[in-house]
Amino acid sequence: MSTLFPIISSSLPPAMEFVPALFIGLCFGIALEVAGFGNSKILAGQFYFYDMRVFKVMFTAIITAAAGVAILTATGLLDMDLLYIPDTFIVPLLVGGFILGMGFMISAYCPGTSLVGAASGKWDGFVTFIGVIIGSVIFGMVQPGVSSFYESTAKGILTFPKLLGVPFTVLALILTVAAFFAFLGADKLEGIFARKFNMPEGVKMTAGARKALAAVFVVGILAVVFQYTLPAGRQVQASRQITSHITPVELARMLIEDPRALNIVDIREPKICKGGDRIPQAVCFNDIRDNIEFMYKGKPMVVYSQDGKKNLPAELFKYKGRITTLEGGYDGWNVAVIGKPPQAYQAVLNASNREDGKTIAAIHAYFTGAKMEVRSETDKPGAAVIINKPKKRSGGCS
Amino acid sequence: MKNLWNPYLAGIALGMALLLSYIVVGHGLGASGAASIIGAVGLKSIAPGYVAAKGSSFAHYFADNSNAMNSWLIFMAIGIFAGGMISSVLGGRNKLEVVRGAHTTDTRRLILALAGGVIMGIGARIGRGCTSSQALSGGALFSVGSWIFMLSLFAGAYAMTYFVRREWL
Repeated sequence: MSTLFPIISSSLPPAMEFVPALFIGLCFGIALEVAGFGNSKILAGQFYFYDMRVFKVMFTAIITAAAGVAILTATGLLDMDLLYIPDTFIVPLLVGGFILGMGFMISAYCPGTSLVGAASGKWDGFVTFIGVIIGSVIFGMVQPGVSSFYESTAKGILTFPKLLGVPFTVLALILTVAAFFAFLGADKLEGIFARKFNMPEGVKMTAGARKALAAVFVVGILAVVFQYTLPAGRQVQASRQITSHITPVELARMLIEDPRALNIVDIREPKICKGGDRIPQAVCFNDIRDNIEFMYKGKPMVVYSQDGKKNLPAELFKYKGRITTLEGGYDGWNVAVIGKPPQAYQAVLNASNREDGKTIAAIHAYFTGAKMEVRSETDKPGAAVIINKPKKRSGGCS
Repeated sequence: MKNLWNPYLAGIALGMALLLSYIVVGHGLGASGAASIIGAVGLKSIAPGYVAAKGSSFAHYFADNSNAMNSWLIFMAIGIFAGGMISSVLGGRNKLEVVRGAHTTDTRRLILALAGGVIMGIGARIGRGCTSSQALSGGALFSVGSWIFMLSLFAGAYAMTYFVRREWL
């Protein structure tokens, strides 16, 4: 059974893909602005405790969204496993969060609110956003030198429901209750610090706000009730599999762009897969067959056999994401990307399209000038694979 | 500040925007990613060779020969800017000014804003996101890393309060 949500914009024609992002951004910008986050003075109030708007808005948003996800999941409308969850890298996230927090206090904006500040005419917001651009370039420059730190303590997708074994719906409800008491505390704290610093005190939980929070709480309770009564909430949602095809050259390009953006699975005979050459980053089906349902990390899966004609093993369909097959299989890859000269290169040269020819030559050089060291991730389902990038002989396909 | 929403109601509005993002596009909100792309595009226009060089962390933005700006992160940032502008104009809060505390100067404020921005840009890259994309969007899905990031973010901010207190109090 496939779920209604998420809709996922890739079903839109490419030229229209920006529409949902633009619209959601618009809603996001309005919500941040009416919260007062276009003004650095209000944001700064959080950190001197006299106006804890940032905490109130942020945690209300988190419990609202979590309650929404919980109820949509419990009623079978949303397949939560299809939602993108950022990978956990314990130390880098600890360090990155701390650094970002220091910058937050110094500029009194965060990256998103600096945009809203700029949009509200605040020069300090505009300057902050320029700073964020500069800072990301600076880190981008030093990143290759600190990649062992940047990639350290990788845990893949790690969530509290998985870690604690408590259902998402129950956690959402617990967080809602905890947040309510924290809000009462924040309302109190503001009074004390507003007097201390002689600053205007933050806005409290009015009757209307109390009702709205109660509604979020009721949604949370309903989610838990549905979770344990409706069959939809308990069953593992079969995925929305759109089986499609990809050409070897397309696959090669995607691998160069981001070697970790795909799960590549080799379904040839175990002996052939283990013993011989594979497409870079590919894992053998035999090694992952027990872990297929945990492999989805927002990535499409690309599957290949020797000639591209073998039927996909049924177990593969436990995969929660989209499955794509490689046209022509490993033979096709060999001919188009690895072969000397690659057939596709020849074909393009014959068509006298020099630019495309150069691109394919670059792809060919990229993959053949490389030792194809492939590490399987059989031991750690869901863990990020640290990839030994193949050595580039040319400048890639830029 | 006039006409601001009650923080709890604004929080529910923000939560609904986040939920909308989940159910329509399958991922959360983001803002710092757009800054990274703009930075990479800017750098490419100055030093194309450096950006494309072996081992460069910027090369992936341009790997498929398409326009790097043609990304949902950029469109979302445009949406955020437009939403902020519409809402601030309608609420009577749109005013060209430098927001600062009573005991500081505009210049000092702008220098600190820039410095804070640079630090955030670095932090956002190390932390793979910002308050929106990591703390909020991952936090509401109970990602362990996102909660580590969020708590560390508040700790970092509170650690700085003493040093910049004259800017605000």
